[in-house]
Amino acid sequence: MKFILSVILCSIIFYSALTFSQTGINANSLPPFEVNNYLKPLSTWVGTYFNSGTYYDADVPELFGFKFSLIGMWTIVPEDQKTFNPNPQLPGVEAAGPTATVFGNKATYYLGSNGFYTYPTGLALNAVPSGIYQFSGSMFNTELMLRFFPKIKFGDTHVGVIGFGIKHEISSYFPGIPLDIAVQILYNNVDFEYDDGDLVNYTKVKSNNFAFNVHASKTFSGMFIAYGGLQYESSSIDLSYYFEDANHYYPESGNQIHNLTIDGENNFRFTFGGAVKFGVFVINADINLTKFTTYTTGLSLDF
Amino acid sequence: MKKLNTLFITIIIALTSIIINGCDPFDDIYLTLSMDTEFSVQGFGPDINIGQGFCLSEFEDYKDNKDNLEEIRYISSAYLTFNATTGLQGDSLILTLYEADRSTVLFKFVKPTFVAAEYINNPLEIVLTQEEINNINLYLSNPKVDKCFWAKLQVSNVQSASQFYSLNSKIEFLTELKIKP
Repeated sequence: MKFILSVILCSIIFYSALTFSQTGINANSLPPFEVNNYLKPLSTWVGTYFNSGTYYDADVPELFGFKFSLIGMWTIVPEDQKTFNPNPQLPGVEAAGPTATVFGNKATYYLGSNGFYTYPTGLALNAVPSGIYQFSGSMFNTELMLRFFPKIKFGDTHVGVIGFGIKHEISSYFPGIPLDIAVQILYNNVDFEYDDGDLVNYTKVKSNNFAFNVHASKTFSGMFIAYGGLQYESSSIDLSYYFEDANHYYPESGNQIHNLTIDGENNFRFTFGGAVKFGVFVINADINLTKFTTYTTGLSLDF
Repeated sequence: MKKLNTLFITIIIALTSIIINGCDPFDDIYLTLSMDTEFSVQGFGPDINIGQGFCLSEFEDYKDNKDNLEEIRYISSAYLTFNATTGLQGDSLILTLYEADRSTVLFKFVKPTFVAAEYINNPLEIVLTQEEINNINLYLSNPKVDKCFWAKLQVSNVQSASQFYSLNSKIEFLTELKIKP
């Protein structure tokens, strides 16, 4: 179980159709300096996931408005996020080549003093399908968006998600502008903890994701919306895990809990897409150009 | 208006189609399987000659993925001494891997001089010829069928600090399993 649980939960939160391979992963065998490289793409992906699908229209009602959206995403895993160059930091020992990250499929090995050590493989994914839901309420050209999943217990696992965004339509101050323009700040947090009472299996993951964007939209014929935006974003994972040093290569750091922060490689993204309104229903689709190119589609109930 | 309508719907259908059908999210899966076989010998006499059998089905990763295996490929192997009588040495170390029939040789590795203590916490990598690697991979083809091996360790002209000697050691084999996603 161990890390597979955290990875699955981070990935399938709400409506994801993802089914992971039967192989699983065992990142617990990695020392902290290798875990960082192994899980960095996961941190980047979680940031990409939470910071996607947050708008399709820069026009925010002056009076009361309400939206409920179901968003599906398809995130492409780039080749350079599937491997890393391991460094076991053992005298005279070198790994046989690049090894899989959490998304990769081929692990390497090294021959240490007690025999072979084989790195964990990854989930062997070219893309990550996922989904999320969100509520928004608006007034005075300002919208509050909420993503919420109460912290609940599934067996030995606790998981909870909270995310919110505040958006303000700045074009409301400039009535002559032909476009709607808005700014938005987003914060999403996911907490995951697995504790079956056995220290070896203990895993805690806390992911923090922040984004700020400026986006614009233009509505045609009252029902077609073209939109785009530029977003700055950051993500990190605070991880607590047990490093199981089966080969006794790391007597000082092995077989104990470690805490570390893994920063994602999220920086900027450019989004462009379109939406169609059918009464109170809105269907939208967009492309997000960032470290992990992401396609999103959404179905919203928009009053 | 009608053109715009058609354009938007076409874009949405195209994107949805790409998302649902256009890409396979799963890549091929590879697992590295490490197989150990241990040799434990105590005795007298000028030669050590010990064999040990093992099968793929003894290893969990193989058992768990057997039905979805597409390929097994040899990667590397090494010899390691756990402990040995002080001064245990011989004129040569011969490590031979046979098929289950114990007569078909998959590889034969010869180290002209052997000092057992040199390989405590310092494994000896078994370097094979391409032909030997091909032999192993050929034997491993049809990976859904369990394969067994016979590994043999021989040391000639054994000498040690005492007449009675002991040697505890292992050979470790690394293979790569390709699994259908």
